[in-house]
Amino acid sequence: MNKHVTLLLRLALGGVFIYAAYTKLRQSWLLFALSIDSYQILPEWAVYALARTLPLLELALGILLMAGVWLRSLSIAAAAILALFFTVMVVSYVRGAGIDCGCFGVGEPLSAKTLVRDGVLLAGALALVVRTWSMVNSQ
Amino acid sequence: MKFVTSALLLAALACAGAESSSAQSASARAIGPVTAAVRIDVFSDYECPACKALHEQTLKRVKEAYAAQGKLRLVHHDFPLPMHKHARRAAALAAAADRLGRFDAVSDVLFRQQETWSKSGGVDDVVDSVLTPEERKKIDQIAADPAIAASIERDIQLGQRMNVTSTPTMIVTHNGKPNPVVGVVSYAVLSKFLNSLLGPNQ
Repeated sequence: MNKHVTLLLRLALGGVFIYAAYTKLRQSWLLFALSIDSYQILPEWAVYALARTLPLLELALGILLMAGVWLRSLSIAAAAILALFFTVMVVSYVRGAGIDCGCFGVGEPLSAKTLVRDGVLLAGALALVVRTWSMVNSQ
Repeated sequence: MKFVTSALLLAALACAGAESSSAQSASARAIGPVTAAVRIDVFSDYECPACKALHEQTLKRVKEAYAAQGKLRLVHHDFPLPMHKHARRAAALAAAADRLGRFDAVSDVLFRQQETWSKSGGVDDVVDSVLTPEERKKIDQIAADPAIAASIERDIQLGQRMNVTSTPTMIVTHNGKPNPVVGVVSYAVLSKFLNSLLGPNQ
């Protein structure tokens, strides 16, 4: 049963990361850079660096999660990335920034709905961390 | 489905463009050639602080470096949000000032002194400060013209058709593809994006 839940979690998270990467890679990377820039957190060089690398990172993470390799490290990486996204999104939402989420390409406003969705993904990633580490400990 | 949506948005923009070129041929609300390969439709609210930031930090430079040089078409649309009490009056005065050939001056002062008039409600006084006595006499009359309110309403409806939910929102259209850019973005990043659309022979 535990194994099935773990499998479901890593396939779902892997799928979400791959889809997130796909939506960003199919458009100009500069359009994603504009989404990042609208959060008004990073300097210009970091905006470009993140816009170039994040979709590739998401793609690699998604594929590896689905493949089920290095699960303990990758589940922590996934949870850390999602926690970072969630924090930045909550801060921007509370600040009242009327901006795009930038989560799955352009055109989706940052809203309570996107926060709930990211929160659910974060909870899923944390559950995967707990399960992969408890499985190792029980072996 | 996405293709249909894009086609509808383009049709809406084309209608808006045709409207502004016929009814407001000398309008400063739309700058740059109608045939430009890139078009930016800006949906803005004079009472929104983020719109002020975008106008002052980014759009003024885009206007000078791109639209005034004929590289793209930059179109202003009013999108006063219901939560902003004086935004509609400000939009009406800016539209009226456009008929007097003073859109830029009024638009600039509305954003520059936004904090003052949004608190006091003295939007008319702020606008009057950049007009001549003769223009002051005319602007109230023009702003009361039902055509002004109708043009603001048309802009709002256009924005709603284009899924604009917050201000500022820019729709950057290139090769028939509308790209929404929401919120305040820096001139540096936006110009890099525009240059990538315009290509090396801009």
